[in-house]
Amino acid sequence: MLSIAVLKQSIQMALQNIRGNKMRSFLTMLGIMIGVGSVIGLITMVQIASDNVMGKFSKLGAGTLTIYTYESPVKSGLSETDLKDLASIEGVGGISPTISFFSTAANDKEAFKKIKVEGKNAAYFARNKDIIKAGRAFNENDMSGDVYVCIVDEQFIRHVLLGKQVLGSTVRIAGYKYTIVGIRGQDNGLNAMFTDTSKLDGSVMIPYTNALSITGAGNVTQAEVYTADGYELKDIESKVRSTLKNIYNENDDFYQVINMDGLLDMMDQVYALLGTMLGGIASIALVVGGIGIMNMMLTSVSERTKEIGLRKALGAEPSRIQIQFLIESIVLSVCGGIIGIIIGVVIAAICAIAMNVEFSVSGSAIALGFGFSAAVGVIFGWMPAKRASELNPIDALRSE
Amino acid sequence: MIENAPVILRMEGITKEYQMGDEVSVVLKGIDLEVRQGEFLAVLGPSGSGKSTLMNIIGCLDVPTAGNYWLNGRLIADEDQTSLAHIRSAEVGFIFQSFYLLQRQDAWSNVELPLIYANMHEKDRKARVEEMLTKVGLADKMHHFPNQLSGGQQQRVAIARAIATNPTILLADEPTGALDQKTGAQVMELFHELNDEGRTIIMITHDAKIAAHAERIVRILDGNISEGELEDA
Repeated sequence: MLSIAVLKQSIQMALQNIRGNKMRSFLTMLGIMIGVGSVIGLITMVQIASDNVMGKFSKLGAGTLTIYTYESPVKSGLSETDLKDLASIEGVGGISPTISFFSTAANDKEAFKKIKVEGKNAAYFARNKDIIKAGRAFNENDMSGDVYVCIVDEQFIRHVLLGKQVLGSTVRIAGYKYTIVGIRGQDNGLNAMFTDTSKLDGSVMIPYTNALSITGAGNVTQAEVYTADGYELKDIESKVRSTLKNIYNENDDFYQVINMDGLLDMMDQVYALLGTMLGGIASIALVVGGIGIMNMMLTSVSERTKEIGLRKALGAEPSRIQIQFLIESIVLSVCGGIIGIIIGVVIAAICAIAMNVEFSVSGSAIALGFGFSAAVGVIFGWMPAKRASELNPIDALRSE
Repeated sequence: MIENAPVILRMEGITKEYQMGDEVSVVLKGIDLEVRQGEFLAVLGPSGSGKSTLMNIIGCLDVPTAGNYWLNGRLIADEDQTSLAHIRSAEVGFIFQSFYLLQRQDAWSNVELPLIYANMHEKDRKARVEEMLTKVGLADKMHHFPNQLSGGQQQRVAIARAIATNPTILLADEPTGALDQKTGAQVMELFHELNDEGRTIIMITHDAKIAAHAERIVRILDGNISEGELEDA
C-alpha cells in the first residue's frame, strides 16, 4: 500500500508545502534546529571532553595498581622483601617502586635547587616505553646500587644544561656525579598528572637502588603494580590487598591501593551521566520544537481540508492521507534536524578549537540527531495526520 | 442499444436522514433509480432538493440510511472509509463545479493522482496520463499549472483526471457552473464525445438548459425523484 510512488509523491508534496510557506516552515523548523543543535552540540562537547581526559588517563591507567604508603608506627614504607612478595603474586607482571625527593643539580658554573629526583627501576621503563625520547632507558644492570646514570627531562636540559650537548655528558646531582644516558618526555603517570612541575628547574630519574643508597632510605613509599599479559587488574587487586594486609599486620590505615581501571570506569560513568543529563535538558527544546511542528501541521490540515476531501474523492484511503501528512511532518522535522546537526557540530567544533582539544564528531551523535528529529516528526505529526485521515470527505469537499 | 445495456447503477428505496439536534431531517425519501451502461443522465433539481446528497451516495462518498444501492453489481452498504475509497477509486470519476485541481501541481500530476491511488505502475501511468490529456485536447499544456490555464482548460484537466482510471460512472456536479456559456458549451461537447465512446455520465445540475444536453433527465424535488420530459414539469 505504501508504494514508492506514494512515498515519492508525498515527499515532493511535503517539500512543495515547505517551499510554499517559507516563513512559517522556517519558524517551525527553528524549534527543531535549536533542539537538535543543542542536543548534538552538548553531547559532542561532553564526548570531546571525555575523550580527551579519558585518553590522557587511559595512557597511564590501564592495568596499573598504585600503592601509596604513609609513615606509621607499624612500618615505614615498603621494604625490598615486601616488594619481592608483591612481585611474586600470580598475575603481577612487574612492580615499579618509586622514591622521589627534591635535591640540587649543578653544572660547571651554578647550582639549581629545585630539582625533582625520582628513583625508577627497569620495570617502569618496560611499562612506559614511550617515555624515552632519546638515549636509553634503565635496565637491570643499572640496578646494582652504585651505577650513577640519569635520565633528564626537557626542563632540566633547558635550565641546568643550558641546552648544551646532553647524552653522555655528566652532571652533578645531590653532590654525586651522574652520566646522562637518556632524555625523557612527559610522564603520563598518576603522580605526574597531579604534580605541578612548572616551578621546578627540572626533573631527573636515577636508578631506584641508587636513589635508596644515596638517600640512605631503606624503604620506598610508593609503588606501581602492573598486570601480566592475560590477567585482569581485578584478578590481582584482591591478592595485592591481602599481601599488603599481611605486610602491615592486618592494619590497613597506613597504605592505600588505587585501581586506575576503577577510576577510569568511574570517570566514564560520570561523563556518560553528564552527557545524558545535558542531552536530556536540551531535549526539552526538542519537545517545544515538536509542539511547533504539531501546531503547523494542524494549521496545514485545516487549511487543506478541501484538498484532503478531493484526494479522498479521487480514491485515497484514509491511511494514505495519514501517511502523506505524517511524511510532511517528518520531512519538516528532519530538515530542521539536519540544519540542527550542522549547527550543533559547528558549535562543538568552535568550542573544541577554543579549548584547544582534539575535535571529532561521532557518527552516533549524527544518527541520534536524525533519529530524534524523525521521532519528533512522527510523534507530533501523528495526531494532525490522524485528524486529516478521519475528515469526512463530504464535509471536506464542501468546506470553504 | 442502451435499452439492452446492462444496468450498472440501481437504487431501491434509498433514504437519507440527518440528525439535526432533536429533529430528524429526511433529505432523500425512498429513491428508486436505474442507470444503464452508456447512459447520459442529468439529475435536475434546485438547491435544497437533496441532489447533493444523492450525488454523495451515488459517488460513494456517503452511505444511505436505508435502501439498497448497487454499483457495478456491488451492494454498497455499511462500508468503512477505506472500502469506500477503494470503490471510488475503481468505479467513480468525479467532476466538480470549481474543478478542484491541486494548485501546486501541474496538469500532468493532477491527472496522475487518481492513478497513483489506484496503484497503477509508473510506466503505465505515464502513458495513461499522456493519453488522457491528449484526449481532452491539452497535449501541448501537460506541464502547465492550473493558474496558467483558462477555466475551460482547467475543467478539461479535471475531466482527464476523472476518466483516467476508466471508472464505471462519470459523476459531474454542475460541471459548467463556473464557466462562461461558450466554454461551458465546449465542455458539454466533450461530454457528448465521451458518452459516444460509451462512457456512463451522471450530471447533477440545477440548470435545465445544461440538463437538456443529457439524453435522459430525472428531476429531484424535496427528496423525491420523478422522470419524464422537461415539458411535463
